[in-house]
Amino acid sequence: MINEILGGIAVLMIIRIFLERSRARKLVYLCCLNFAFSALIALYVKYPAGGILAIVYFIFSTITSNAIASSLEKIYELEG
Amino acid sequence: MMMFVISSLVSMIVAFFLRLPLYPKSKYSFESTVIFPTPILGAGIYIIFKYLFFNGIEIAIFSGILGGLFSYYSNRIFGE
Amino acid sequence: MEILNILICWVICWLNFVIIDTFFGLPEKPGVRGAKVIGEKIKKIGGDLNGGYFMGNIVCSPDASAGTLLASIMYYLMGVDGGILASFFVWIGNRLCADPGYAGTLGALSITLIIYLLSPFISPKYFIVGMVLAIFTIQGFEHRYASKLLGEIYRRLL
Repeated sequence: MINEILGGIAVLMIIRIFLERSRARKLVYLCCLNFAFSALIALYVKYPAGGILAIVYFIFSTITSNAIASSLEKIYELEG
Repeated sequence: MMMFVISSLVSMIVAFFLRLPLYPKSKYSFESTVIFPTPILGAGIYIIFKYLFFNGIEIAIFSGILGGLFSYYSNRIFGE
Repeated sequence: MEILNILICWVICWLNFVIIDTFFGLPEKPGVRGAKVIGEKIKKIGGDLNGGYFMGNIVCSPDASAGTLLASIMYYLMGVDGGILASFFVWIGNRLCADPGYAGTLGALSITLIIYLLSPFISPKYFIVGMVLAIFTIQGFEHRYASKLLGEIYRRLL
């Protein structure tokens, strides 16, 4: 039941990322995909090391989104 | 549960003697103070040491001292 | 019975992270660099600017939403120790993203307290799926209505 809900949300988010045209709003769907995926990691690896793995995956994916969004902001500033 | 309180209290005492301010001025300030990040850092480092080595009061006191020092130098480690 | 547990956890996680994030000023201004462009893009398709800043701040740094998810994961695996460890790691992640980190750590600590108080009745793994459903209603379902709802909550609460 739980794994099916999380996997369904992940597949739905992948489809919406492909269909979305705007480059900044793809990041918002990608954030939701990261949430579902780190929850799936922790539910499949049932050890404390799996929890540490989920935390490291989530935080570094957030840092990646931060870098992409701030460089997008700089590009829009340059284009005016 | 007792060990969390000991490590948090030791880290707060260390931060107090290093003359950090008592509470944050606004909700956007980066300054590390006695009540906000210091007890969390002491308790977090205590849990890591407990799972890596063993459980005891000397580990709690040592991690409290380490947490206070980490909180004092955090602006220099991470940058503003 | 399982569906009832999931619904209860959904409501609890939604209220927890929206109230804490609104109180610590996420809708007020784009705190980290990069949240501004997401807010303006959401306003361009007919949404609300303050709600857009809220969603951009969630994308660009681990806030109370990330604290709620990671603390419920670590409580499921390690007990009360895991919740405090999750708040420690969320603080480090917040500082790496140039954010002060009040919302993330306090969200992790508050959901740890809530799960500890409710642990005789509800298993911690329902909180994980509840948090993912809560973030799905904010970020993944429909950006226009979600940002209007968040902006309305911000204006009513403060």
